[in-house]
Amino acid sequence: MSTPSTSSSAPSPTTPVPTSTGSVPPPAPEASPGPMRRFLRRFRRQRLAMIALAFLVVLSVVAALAPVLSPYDPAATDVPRQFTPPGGAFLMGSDDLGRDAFSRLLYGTRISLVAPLIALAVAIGLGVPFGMLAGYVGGWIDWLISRIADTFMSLPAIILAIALVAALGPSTVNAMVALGIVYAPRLLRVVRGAVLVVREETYIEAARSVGLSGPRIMGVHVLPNIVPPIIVQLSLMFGFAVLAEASLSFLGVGVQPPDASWGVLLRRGFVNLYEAPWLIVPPGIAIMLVVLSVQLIGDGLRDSLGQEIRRQ
Amino acid sequence: MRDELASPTDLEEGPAPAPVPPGGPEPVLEIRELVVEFATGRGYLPVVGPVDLTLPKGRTLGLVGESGSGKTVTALSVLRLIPMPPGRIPAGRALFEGHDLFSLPEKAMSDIRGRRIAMIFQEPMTSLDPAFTVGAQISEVIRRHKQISRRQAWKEAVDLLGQVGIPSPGRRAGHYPHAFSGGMRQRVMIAMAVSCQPDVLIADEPTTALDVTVQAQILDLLKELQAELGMSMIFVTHDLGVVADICDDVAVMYAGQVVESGPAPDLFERPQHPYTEGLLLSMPRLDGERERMFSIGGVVPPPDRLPAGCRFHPRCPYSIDACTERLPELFPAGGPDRLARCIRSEELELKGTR
Amino acid sequence: MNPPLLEASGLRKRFVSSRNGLGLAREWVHAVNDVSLTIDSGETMGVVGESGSGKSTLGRLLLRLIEPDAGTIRFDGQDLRALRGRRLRQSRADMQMVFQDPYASLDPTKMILDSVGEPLRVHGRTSGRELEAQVLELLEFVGLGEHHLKRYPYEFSGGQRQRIAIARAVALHPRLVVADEPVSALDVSTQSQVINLMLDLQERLGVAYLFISHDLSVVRQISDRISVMYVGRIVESGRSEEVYRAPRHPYTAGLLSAVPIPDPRRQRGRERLVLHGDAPDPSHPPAGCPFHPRCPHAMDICRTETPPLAEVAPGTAAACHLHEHGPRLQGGTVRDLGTPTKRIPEPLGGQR
Repeated sequence: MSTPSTSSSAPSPTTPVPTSTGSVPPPAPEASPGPMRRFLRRFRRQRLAMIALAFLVVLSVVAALAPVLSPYDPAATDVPRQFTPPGGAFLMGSDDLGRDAFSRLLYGTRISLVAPLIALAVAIGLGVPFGMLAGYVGGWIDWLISRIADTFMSLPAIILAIALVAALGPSTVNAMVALGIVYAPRLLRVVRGAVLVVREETYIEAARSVGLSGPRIMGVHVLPNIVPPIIVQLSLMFGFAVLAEASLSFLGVGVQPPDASWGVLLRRGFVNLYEAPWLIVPPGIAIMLVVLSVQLIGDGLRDSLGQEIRRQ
Repeated sequence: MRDELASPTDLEEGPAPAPVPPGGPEPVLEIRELVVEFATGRGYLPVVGPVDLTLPKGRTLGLVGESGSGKTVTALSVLRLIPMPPGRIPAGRALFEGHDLFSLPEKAMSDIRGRRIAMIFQEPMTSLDPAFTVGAQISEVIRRHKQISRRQAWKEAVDLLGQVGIPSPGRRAGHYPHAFSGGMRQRVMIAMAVSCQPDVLIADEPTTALDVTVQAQILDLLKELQAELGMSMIFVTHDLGVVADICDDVAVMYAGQVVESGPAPDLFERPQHPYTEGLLLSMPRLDGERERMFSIGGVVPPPDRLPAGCRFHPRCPYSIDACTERLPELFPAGGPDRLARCIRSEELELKGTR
Repeated sequence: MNPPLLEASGLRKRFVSSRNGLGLAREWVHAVNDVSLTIDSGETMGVVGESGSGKSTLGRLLLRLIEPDAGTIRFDGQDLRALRGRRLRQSRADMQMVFQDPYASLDPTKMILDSVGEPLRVHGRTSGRELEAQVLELLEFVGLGEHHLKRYPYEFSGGQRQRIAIARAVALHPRLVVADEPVSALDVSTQSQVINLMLDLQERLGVAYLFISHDLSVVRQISDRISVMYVGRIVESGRSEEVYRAPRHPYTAGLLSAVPIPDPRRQRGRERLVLHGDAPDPSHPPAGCPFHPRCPHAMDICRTETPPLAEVAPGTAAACHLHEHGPRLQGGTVRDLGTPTKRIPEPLGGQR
């Protein structure tokens, strides 16, 4: 191919290569949305999930405005008017001490939505670092961490929580910490699995060849790339935590009176089932709706996730 | 032209493939005005078409292009293997033995697949079921199309395995796909494909994933089988070297359309379309020099952002204003059986391998 | 004569291919088996081989991305294997890598500015505004522009991503870049763009390349010298025009013969040596010369003794008994032997 071109218009082999502009999106925005932004954008298009999210947001606002919205002080007792059926003065009836069920529901929302976050924080604090360590470093560290996690996972969650609370004393925070400890191994597993996949990616090898140290690679390159599956897992865990808090409080080892979470309300309703069967309904429905919403949000997140993995 | 590959015997040119006798041979498969569309967020988008192709009997037609050219979609559409959503074929005919394949009922179509028109793919692992022995899979294909006993089919399968060059075929027929290397698996797939002596074999990049020494074996095998069985072949590839080795005729595809076609030696020596010239110039050659390669600037346009007029004009060193006005037709250019989609092909003297 | 930039000697690396019931290793794959090579400053050494040849492993061993089991590596006279921890990481500024898959070698969560600037940041060269300016200069050098700085990888084509990866690799002006099949995943017209870019960079920066590829035509375009690998060993090496013109090892001859030339008349007229069978199972390589089961010129000695890689002609080395034992090529090309008339016996190849 070394014969020089003699025809009039053949391009020479040294024609400078024009910058290819074909596939970069046309003009202006100097910056483009990152993968997280696009993930959220896709999430926004999930109808059911957005409805569920809206519901939770509304619920949170309601909880924040509880003092404004509740007609009565939730702790105010009015024994003569105990067991009033719903309607009239008491929108959802009154309980065995004459307290307004509606007001208690509103205030209970605060605890039932916030307390699980404590559990999640503990789970993240334990599950993420150890999961990353186990997944990235491997070897005997992985073996050790995984065995410890396995041990914790084989204990029934509620029993473990009860045991921990029994040791530490009943309180909302203790119960939530216990829950967090119980959930940490599950999160650890998810994190470890995601790290195992990301670890094999070429850009990790590239980071090593550039000279980054292990910890730096974990923080800068591994962690941001495992965020989506972690978010999905956390959303589901939130739902479990709401249920678990309700169960623990129902059993009397979670939130303690006079604080009233939905679990506590359920308990009161259960105890007074014959006298006031209406008491058990609102908290039951509330729990169900919240958990359902969380599930739908989790599904939506997972569906928006899929495309991150697909390449162009 | 300096030959870097030693040995004087290498310098001799081989016989050119038999020239097409005037007016014939009869085409065994003809594709007319094929259009293939795929569903996107914004409705159906054409990714291929309109495409016209002719496969003369007993010859090998190479379908060449880079990624995004539409060559694989074209090949898959002949056997109606495009998943129908999200794809669809709104126009076109595929004429085989007087029938239009696109208007046949599915039952008739599945009789043709494997029996009259067969296909082999790039990744043998995806068309071989890991749960069954290769002997069983080949027998199954045979029995689908021929009324013979299981024992008889197995015997034929073993024969086929031997024919495609698998050693100890009697024993190997009882092995599972994972026990075979890549090249061997491809041979198994070829055995399956020719088991019913099809008239047409469509090969979609069958050697792309193989080592070059194995590729050479497979290409030789295909040539042997073609001669023995009188098959006609459509060979989809991006590798011009492979085209030079095995194809009698070539159709070059770009952005969903054929931009040039004709007998292989002539097309390589005197390309009539700037894209073909660009491909030939930018291909590194074994007998080339250590030098800076020519490269075609720009990228292949995606189907939703096709330029106005000629689809290649933004990257074409010879484009003029007229090129942006209308999409050119495939004109006869440069000789008998030569077609090119370029309004300037007459006046341009493009560089080929001569 | 300047001392070579990189001198590797006796490199070995094996991987476990199967374990027994107790989890102990039972079978090994000798991915790299006693490999020695040198690379001079500013030159391009091409390493060619098919799958299972060990070429990718070799590239990673030289950078110590994988630890060799045995052998020495001297970079600029310094023993690379002796470095640990921070010193090892610092040495990475001099040797960088470009990977095969452009879609996987860039962190999808990082902007181009961050990906390309990372080597500069890690080695403390610059930061902030000056870093951005340097990254911009690098991007312009590979044919991209300012408007690409703050974008994410998903917006770029394969060819562009590979150019970004190259910009990252040369950010620290390394002395050596190991390129592992850098253009194999790209279209033909993009391949030549990237090869041209690499040649330009070499002119500008004087960087040496270890260019690993299975594509002999591509390697031809860029290499000064080449080494041909087969089942973990180098079977031939020398100046690339010489090896392509007159191969001294039957495998090289077969390999060259198998590469199709995009020219129908020449391709169909070539005298071809088609190698039969498949490459051997890497965990059970044949005794003696690993190529002997497929070799058309195999002799008795080939079955028992592994031929050493020895210089057979000035500047060319081959690992083949034919040069010393009958028919005694003595440094001549294997092509002189022609294609044997005896039928090559059906090999055991193809079995796992």
